[in-house]
Amino acid sequence: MSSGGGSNSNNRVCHFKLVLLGDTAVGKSCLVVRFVRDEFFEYQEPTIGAAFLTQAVVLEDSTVKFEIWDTAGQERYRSLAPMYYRGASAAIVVYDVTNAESFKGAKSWVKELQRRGDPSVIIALAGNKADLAGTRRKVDLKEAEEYARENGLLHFETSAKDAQNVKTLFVEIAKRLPKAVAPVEREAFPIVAPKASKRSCC
Amino acid sequence: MTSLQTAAAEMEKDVEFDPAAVSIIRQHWIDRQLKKRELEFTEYRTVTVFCGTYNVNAKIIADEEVQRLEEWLFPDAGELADIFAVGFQEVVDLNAVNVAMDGKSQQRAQAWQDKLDAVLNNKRREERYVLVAERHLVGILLLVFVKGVHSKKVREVYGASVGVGLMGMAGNKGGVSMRLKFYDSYLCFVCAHLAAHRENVEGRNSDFTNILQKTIFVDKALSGEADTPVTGQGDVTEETRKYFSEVLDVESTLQTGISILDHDVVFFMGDLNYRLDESVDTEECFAKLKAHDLDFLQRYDQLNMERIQGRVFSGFSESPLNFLPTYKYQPGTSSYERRPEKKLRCPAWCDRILWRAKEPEQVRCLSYRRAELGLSDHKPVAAQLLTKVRMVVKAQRQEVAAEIHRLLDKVENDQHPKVTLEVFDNSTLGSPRPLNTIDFGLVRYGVECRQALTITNVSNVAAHFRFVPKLEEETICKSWLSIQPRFGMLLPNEVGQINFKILIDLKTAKMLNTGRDLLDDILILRLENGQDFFLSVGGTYARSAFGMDLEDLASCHGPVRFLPLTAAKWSQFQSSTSTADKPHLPPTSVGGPTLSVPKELWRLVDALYRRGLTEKDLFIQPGVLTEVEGVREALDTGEELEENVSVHSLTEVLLSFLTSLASPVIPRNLLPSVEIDAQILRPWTRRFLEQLPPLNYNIFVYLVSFFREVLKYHESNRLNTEKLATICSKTLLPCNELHWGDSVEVASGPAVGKGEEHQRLQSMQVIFHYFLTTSVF
Ligand SMILES: Nc1nc2c(ncn2[C@@H]2O[C@H](COP(=O)(O)OP(=O)(O)OP(=O)(O)O)[C@@H](O)[C@H]2O)c(=O)[nH]1
Ligand SMILES: [Mg+2]
Repeated sequence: MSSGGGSNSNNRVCHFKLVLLGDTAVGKSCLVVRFVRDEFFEYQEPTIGAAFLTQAVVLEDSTVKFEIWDTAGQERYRSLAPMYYRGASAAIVVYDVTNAESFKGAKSWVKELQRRGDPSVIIALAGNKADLAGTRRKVDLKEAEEYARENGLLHFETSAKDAQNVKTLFVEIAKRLPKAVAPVEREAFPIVAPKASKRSCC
Repeated sequence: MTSLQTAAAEMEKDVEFDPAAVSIIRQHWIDRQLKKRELEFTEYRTVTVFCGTYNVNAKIIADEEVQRLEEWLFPDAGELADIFAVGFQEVVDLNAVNVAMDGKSQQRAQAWQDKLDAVLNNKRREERYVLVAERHLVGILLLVFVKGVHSKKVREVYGASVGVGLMGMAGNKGGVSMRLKFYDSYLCFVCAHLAAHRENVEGRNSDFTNILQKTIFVDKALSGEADTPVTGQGDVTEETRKYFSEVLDVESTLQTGISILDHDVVFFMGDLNYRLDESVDTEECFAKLKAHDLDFLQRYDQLNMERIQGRVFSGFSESPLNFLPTYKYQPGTSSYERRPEKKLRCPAWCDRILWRAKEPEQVRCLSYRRAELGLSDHKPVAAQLLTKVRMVVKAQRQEVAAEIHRLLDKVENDQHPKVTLEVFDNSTLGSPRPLNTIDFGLVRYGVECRQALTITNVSNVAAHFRFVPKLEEETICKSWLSIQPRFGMLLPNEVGQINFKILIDLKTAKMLNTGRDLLDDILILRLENGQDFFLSVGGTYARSAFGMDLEDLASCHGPVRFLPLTAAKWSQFQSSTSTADKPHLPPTSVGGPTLSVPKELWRLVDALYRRGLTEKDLFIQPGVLTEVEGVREALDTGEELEENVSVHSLTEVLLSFLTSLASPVIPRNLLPSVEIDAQILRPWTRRFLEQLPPLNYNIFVYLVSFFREVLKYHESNRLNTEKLATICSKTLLPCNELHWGDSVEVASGPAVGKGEEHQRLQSMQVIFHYFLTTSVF
């Protein structure tokens, strides 16, 4: 044992399942690819199935290892989604800020998660393609924020293309996940006030 | 359980794959990587550690004199230590009572603590000190204070006491220790009182060894509670936990205990009781002292000699003894004890301070001297040690950890198997289709359709694939589909084939005909530790007269094939068709649009009537499969029947058509409930005919008439009444076991029902016989 113990205890890795949901072509796969490989493909193929990747987020006092399931957004596969969000600790519901319909879709995904997902699931709402918002915005930021607030969701406008807020999105989710912390790390040793010392020998 | 079974069960457990073990080992690897790169996120800060040792000979300093302690505690003007580790010996008299009861010690310890506190926190100075902890054992006392500004940086404080005195365990001699984490370094302070008497060098050496061996820091609270494993690895079994106990977490380390030498720096102080070597004469010693020849005396210091021999304090350092021996003084004076009534002792450096650092350059001695307080027969000794402590810069450490994890994630993600899927496709050659669709095109009743998919492992790890059912479903696909194989493994670059087969049986045909099922399904092909593929499987069902309802068939004038497949559209279609322009239609029954018998039946019987009456083994010999399929297709599409089709193929289709009907020609409720004997036969059959629904009546009469015609040619077709009655039983009665495939094996007699059912079938056989032989209509 190296240093009398505990020097690495703040690097404990906690594993969590995270699922991405949302209508087709909103950019779920692109967000994952940006987060995991820091790449972006203009011609990302639609996901037909569910892809699995792992990626860690190192926080100040713990590390969250995400087991990410990127699901298919096409309507045809909607009924298969519960298989992937079941047991998930976190979910990212994605919409496309240039597509009002996809925001409606996101709301229905949120509703489904609230009804059928894990009761303690942490949901983040991501308005993707924010790089296009300047000219083609169809979903009002205020409205989305308001909706997120009412439903207790995290909310970010992201862009898989220019990487904006992608890391933040995952980090903020990681911070909210419940983690076990080693007791010795919880607080500084309570130093005995000299007068009140009652420490007995043994 | 026998012992053999237990052993087997044990073995099974041993070979079980434990994901928790993997993740613990992985965690350990991450920790080691971080340790290796420690310098990238560690900064060092030099702090001054004051170590003091004072054998007070059971005296206590008066309150009005406490300021005199300053000389000892602040040996270097202006240098205010960051940590004060102050050790005392003989705070109480080491008499038998005190040793046994240890009662007075608490009170004395408290008194010394208060006095030190008063000196350290003297209002003249700005610095404030707080007590970290106090620990004592009989006469040995250790107090550790830190500057107030550091108080938040002190963590994981544990104490331990070890007695090595009488019987090797009493507290008259021994060591009191305290360990703590200061910033990110682990420090350990030991205050010891070793065996006395000039000649007892070995006793002191072994006391030291015993203290090192027996001092174990254990967290009592933690060792008490075995629950709450803090692993983040999910479920960890007890065995796994035990196996990895030393790396698993901090608690387990503190449960099993940490030793003195495990720390980054050990400060060891006390009345170690080493004297001058016995070869030095006492008078000679006094002479050397007078001449201030400390170099000479140091060479004969027992501790120095023992350390050079490597017999004690190995790895420890000490500064040169540039101060006069601290023992034995006439109390209250600065004269060595030389009074005639007292035992003459050779002065000695009993009181010492040593340190041991994992990295030697970590500690530098600023000063090592004694103070001249006259309280005891010892003088107090002080060392100020500049000590480098580690400070982890969290942000930098986080960055390094993130890099390590990125590397790990990349390797892990690259370990996921990857496969490509390709659909074999003959039907739409040249037109590329999405790879996740398996389209069977037009699927006909009773005709097997096949498709295949190639799966290629394009990764460099083995790929394990299998089809899994959807959530809350039990089967991996609908019943009309079969998959071969359902799972498999592929080595890198290996190519496999998965075959899909659709066969529409009667049950499925009925479902499809009524729109209750569709030739459409999604399969989940799972690549273990990789991804799931969704495969859409489907085709267009070529609607067929087989598996349809009699009423529906009779009201359909056009070819069945072109009827829509959903119930709603179906009725629309019905009303829009008329008989007028359709060929091959039986006569329409009076007053309605309904045909008197389904046209398919009429076409088959018509053809047999024209071509088959004299055929040898009529109804007994099976048809030719391709012809059978052709005849079925012609019936469904309304095309002409091929003229050269064998009569046996026609009979086979006829029989299978009858058995395929969604409801039988003779409804279940019309079966006789009593035994039919010659007496009741005639009235019963009359009522039977009356009760048949009109369409069923038409068909029944139509078929029996045809069979009677057939019987006329029995010499050439070799049929008899018996055989035909059996055929009727097999085709016209409700009977679940039958389907289109085995309808020709009529020689074996009617399907056997149980008990009453069997009885009814027997009776029906009699009735069919009657109809076939008696001219009733
Ligand atoms: N401008 C812009 N385009 C994006 C962004 N993210 C994704 N796209 C584009 O949107 C298209 C669809 O992205 P995908 O990631 O495949 O969408 P998806 O949500 O995974 O879709 P499904 O897999 O069908 O559910 C891709 O062609 C991307 O090029 C973005 O942040 N900005
Ligand atoms: Mg996708």
